[in-house]
Amino acid sequence: MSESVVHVSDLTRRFGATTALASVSLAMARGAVYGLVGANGAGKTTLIKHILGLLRAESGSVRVFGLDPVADPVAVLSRIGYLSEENDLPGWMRVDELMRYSRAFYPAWDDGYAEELRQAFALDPAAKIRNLSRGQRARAGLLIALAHRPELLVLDEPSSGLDPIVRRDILGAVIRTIAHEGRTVLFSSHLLEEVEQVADHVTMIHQGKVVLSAPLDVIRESNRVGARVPSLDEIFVAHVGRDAAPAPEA
Amino acid sequence: MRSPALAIAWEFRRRHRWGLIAVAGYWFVVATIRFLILEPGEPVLMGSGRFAAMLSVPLTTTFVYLLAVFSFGFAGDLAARHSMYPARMFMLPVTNAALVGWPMLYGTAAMAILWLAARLFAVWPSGVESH
Repeated sequence: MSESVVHVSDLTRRFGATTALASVSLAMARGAVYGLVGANGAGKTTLIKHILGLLRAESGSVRVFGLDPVADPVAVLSRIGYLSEENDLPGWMRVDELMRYSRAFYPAWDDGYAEELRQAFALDPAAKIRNLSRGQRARAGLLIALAHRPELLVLDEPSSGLDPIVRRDILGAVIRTIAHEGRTVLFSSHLLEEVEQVADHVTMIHQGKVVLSAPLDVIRESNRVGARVPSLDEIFVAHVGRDAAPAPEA
Repeated sequence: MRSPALAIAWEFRRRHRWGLIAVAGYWFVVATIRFLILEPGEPVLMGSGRFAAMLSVPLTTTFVYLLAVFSFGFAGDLAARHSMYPARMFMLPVTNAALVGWPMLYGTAAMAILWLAARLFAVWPSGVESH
């Protein structure tokens, strides 16, 4: 049995009268790409916040690398790279300052790799973060998430509202990350075709519940209609209905 | 920057460098007057208006400014429901104690330096007082 990087067991979370997560269980093995899909408000970000230790489990348990991320944030977060839709970077910093600043927090920071990523993403080291375009800010966030060579890369709707070139960069980074043996990626998105391109395993969340979680090949095979293999979008609609399916993005 | 403590200190210094330079410049001027222009022990008597302009207002402004700097008061929206503490810092691999403790320590040190500067250069023993 492969070692679990993330193990979520029977996790429930309520915000007032709203149940954001209802008895969610999830196990992520090392060295695979996990796609987390669902409509906006389905519970994806809430689940990710539990994995990152930003929310404490009300009931159930969350273990990352075998540790409680709330009790031991240093050991857990130093091994995670994280990029979110908000991509909350300090706008007043320059790109090179952001790199030096971030290096101080990650013992495993790789200067050579960081510089390689900066050049690959065509980021001007003297540019202020606030003056970067949205796509460039996403690239800067990705650089910070990757430069310490995390064992687990968490991407929470990283490409929402971005142009196809930046999306390609992000997907490329996912592929490069998993190319390093033993690295794991959790990729949350409502863009199902994107998830379909990179995920080995897909978990569908709807109204706080996991409605489907299996390897992508198994999902496709089990939903095959004659000789035709349906897309992930079609499979999602079949499970949760058209109204709940995520809207495609241009 | 080789440690989170230094990085957090750098963040305050870098972001607020012009404000901190202005504060340091003000105290440099006051200290110059105190040590180089006035004779030792020479009392300086000034009216309440000049006293307010030269000492009370700058001191109070500096106090409020430093309070805002080290409580991340410039980092967010005062009217927002959530804390102004930068959310991005919660993702850094440091303990909660470090996230809270270093800014508090730097803020406390800055306030202590402000108090010492006021005592040494403006109030005692220079004899600057209002009448």
